Amino acid sequence: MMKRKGITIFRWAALMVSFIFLLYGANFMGSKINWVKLPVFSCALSPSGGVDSICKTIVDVEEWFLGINMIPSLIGIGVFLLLIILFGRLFCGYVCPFGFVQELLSSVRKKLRLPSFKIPLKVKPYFTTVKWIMVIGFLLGIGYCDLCPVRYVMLPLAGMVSGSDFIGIFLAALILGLAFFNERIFCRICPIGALAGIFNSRSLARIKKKGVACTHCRACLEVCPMEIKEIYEEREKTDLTKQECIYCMKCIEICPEETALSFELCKKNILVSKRHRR
Amino acid sequence: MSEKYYVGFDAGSTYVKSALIKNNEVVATGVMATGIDNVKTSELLLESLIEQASITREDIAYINATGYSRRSLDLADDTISEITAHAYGIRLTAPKEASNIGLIIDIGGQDSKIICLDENYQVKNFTMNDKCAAGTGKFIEVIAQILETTIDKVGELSLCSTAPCPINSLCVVFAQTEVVSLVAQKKDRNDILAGMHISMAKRVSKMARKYKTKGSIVMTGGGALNEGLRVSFEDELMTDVYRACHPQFNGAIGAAIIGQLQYNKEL
Amino acid sequence: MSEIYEERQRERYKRNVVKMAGSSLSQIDETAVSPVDISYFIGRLESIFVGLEDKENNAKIGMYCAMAPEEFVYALGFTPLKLCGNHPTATLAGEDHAPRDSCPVVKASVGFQSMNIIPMFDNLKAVIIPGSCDGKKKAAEILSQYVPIIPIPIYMSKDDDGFELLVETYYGLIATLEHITGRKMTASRLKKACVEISRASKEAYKLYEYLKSDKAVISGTQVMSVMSSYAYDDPGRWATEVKKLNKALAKVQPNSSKRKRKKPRIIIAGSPIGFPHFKIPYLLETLGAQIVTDESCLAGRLLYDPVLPDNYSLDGMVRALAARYVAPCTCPTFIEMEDRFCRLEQEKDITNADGIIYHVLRGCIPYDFELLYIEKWAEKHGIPVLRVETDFSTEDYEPLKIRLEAFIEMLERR
Repeated sequence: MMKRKGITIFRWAALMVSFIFLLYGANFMGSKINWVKLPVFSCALSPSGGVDSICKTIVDVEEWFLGINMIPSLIGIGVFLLLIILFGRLFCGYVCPFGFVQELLSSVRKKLRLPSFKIPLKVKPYFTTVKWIMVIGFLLGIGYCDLCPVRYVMLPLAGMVSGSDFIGIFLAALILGLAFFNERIFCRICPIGALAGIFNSRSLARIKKKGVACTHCRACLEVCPMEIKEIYEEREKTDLTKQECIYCMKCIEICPEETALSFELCKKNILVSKRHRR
Repeated sequence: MSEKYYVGFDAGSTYVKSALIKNNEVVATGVMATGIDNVKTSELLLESLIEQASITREDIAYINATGYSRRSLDLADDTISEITAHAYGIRLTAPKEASNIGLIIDIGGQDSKIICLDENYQVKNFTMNDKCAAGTGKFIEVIAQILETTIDKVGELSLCSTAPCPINSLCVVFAQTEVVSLVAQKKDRNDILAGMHISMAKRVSKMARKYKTKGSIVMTGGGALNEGLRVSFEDELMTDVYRACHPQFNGAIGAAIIGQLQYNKEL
Repeated sequence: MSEIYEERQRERYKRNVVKMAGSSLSQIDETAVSPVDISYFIGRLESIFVGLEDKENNAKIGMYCAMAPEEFVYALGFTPLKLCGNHPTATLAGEDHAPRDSCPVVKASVGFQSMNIIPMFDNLKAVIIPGSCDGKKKAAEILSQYVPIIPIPIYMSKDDDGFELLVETYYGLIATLEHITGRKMTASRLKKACVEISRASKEAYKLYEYLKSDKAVISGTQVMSVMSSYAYDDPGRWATEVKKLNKALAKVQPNSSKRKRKKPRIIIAGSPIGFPHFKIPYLLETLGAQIVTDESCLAGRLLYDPVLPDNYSLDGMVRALAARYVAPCTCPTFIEMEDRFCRLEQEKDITNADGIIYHVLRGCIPYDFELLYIEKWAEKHGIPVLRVETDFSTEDYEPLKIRLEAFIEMLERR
């Protein structure tokens, strides 16, 4: 039976720390490092700035473009690009506070032993379409913030007023409700994740598979929050870092076959699947 | 070179064959019907080998046995399975025309084997008839008996045929019935025999075709003495099929060679 | 007259079953390579097939085929029995109900129910029959004369559609079992069953690690008989016993051997091998080969795959069970064959095997279909394969011996 292992404990700790830090910590840090823009979804909460997410910078183009904040904003975008080029969606699994909220919800569901909601096979392809529509909306920035479900979750959690757009609140409630039954459902259509995911194919973080060692037991697919089919089906290719992968390592952790799945960071083997003998 | 002699026994289902070799050359051979006491048979054979080569028992360094009842031969120093024995035997018995042998078709008394060899004449794979005695020497013997002839004549007789009768039954017993009805139809004996050879070759070729070998094909076992059968195999496989030099003794010779190797390794 | 005749007939069947089972059991020890004690497992088999006893007090639900999820049965408080027959006498009895050319497992499975002489197989609440192959489907119909049956469909493909259908099927199976037993399935009961059976699975995995090691202290025949006894034992109790065995194996020293040559390492692949049909492993090991693993669904594959649920909701576990029993299954009844080759290749690499015996039960067509591709695969990987077609009878002992012996010699000389 599955027990929580090192990497999951680390990941939860990292998510929790970053959640507290991004929601409440920015106020203490002041504006010293406000040029760091993380590729995650979290509203820029502090008026004085601090480490925060890229979303406000991209959405509010008119606020800083040719304005006084142009230089730090450009640096922020540069840092953002550098981070996603180097690490792809790695931040989704370890830093993103909205991801943390979603995982928390679904872990409550798991504790309560309620059934999960699996997206029907026929509906799955539409998620990709929705995702890219989100990306376009996000990059164009027009009114995105007003409908952003993250905003209506994150701001109240940080103890702030979120605004009262009815559609926005409805969407946020819907996403939270779905996330309770389907782990990280928003991550499937997250525009920042989609942008970062483009670089998953070249990033330094790699999920590797040794096809012949795989028995096709489907355990990896069953635990995958992003339901990446290839991790289960593919046998020929050795590199299985798909666009959607958030590096949660659940597949590697659960895989019962010695060395069938492994995680490489900067070409170094960090984690290898093995049979749980106890 | 050593002046030692080596003996191989092939205690088959119908006959016990024996061979005496020295310096990788066949010196003498002997064959006897298996009978009920193959220990005695083997001793008689050993005596006759010694007599033929005019040597003494002490000149024989090693005796190796193969065949179904190899384990009951008390005088043997060691035993080896037929497959391995045949594969080694072919090193001495390969006909000159055949180079680089890839496949051995062994037609024995009650079984037929296909042995696939690699470049070093080691066994790569093998198949044996696993259902019944169809495609074995027994088949020929039974049919020959019905047709009032003997097993050593059927080959020549069948070669005279111009219009072979088809024999479709796989099973020896059913084929027997079929042959009886052919006889009743006043079919020519030679045609029936030719039909029988074709039927056998067809059956065994099915097993042989599985191995796509580039090397030549050699027939061993008592069945190889039958020229009609050899020709049928050629026609069926559409390639040259050679006869080994001492086809009947191939297993015994192989056993002797292995005996020689084992003896020298022990030294 | 007929009643007396039938009684005598049953006695005759009994005698034949006992004789065969007894001689097969006595052969197991001959293959021993160390003084390790497996008498518990032998004893189980002996009490069922030789003593004709039923020591199991708990109510039982039977199942045929390794694709039936025993966790459900166990969770509802019943003892799951794997009933696939491998006995030649049962095959003979089964021929009254199934065609002669059908697979011997089907004939024997049907035969055991129709002979009605093994007390262990009596008083079954029901039997679960996955429709994994044609033989099993027809067996379901025949068996319904003797015992309530629960047929469950197995889908041809292991793709997503097939999987979701199977999950639905498993829910249906739970409902049927609840109806038959009058007990309710809950997540905590199922979790307990999963944990218990996964103990057995882990111990079996360790046992096979001992078998695969370079200096094995247990023979393949012994391991296969241990695995066979699982079919008729309580999984928890069995797991505890195998744990003891594994501990003993860690300490035991191999018997001294006069053998000069290294034993060729052989994998047994193909159709299932279960008690008392041990002639192939027995012959191989007495002729000087070492069995390093097998992929029989009654032995090596029976407990190989673990159950790995995403969460312990009923849904999570049902999905995990559906995944465990079908997704990695290498049974040739599915249209995806790649899994088999990968499994074999992996086993070949892990065990460092010299050759593969491909066992085909006469009439087990799916496995025979596969042979051609296995041979091509083996050619590519430079490992010899010998196809051995046989059934449960002992008549082909000698011809089998010749083949196996020649194969072993061939491997030794490579």
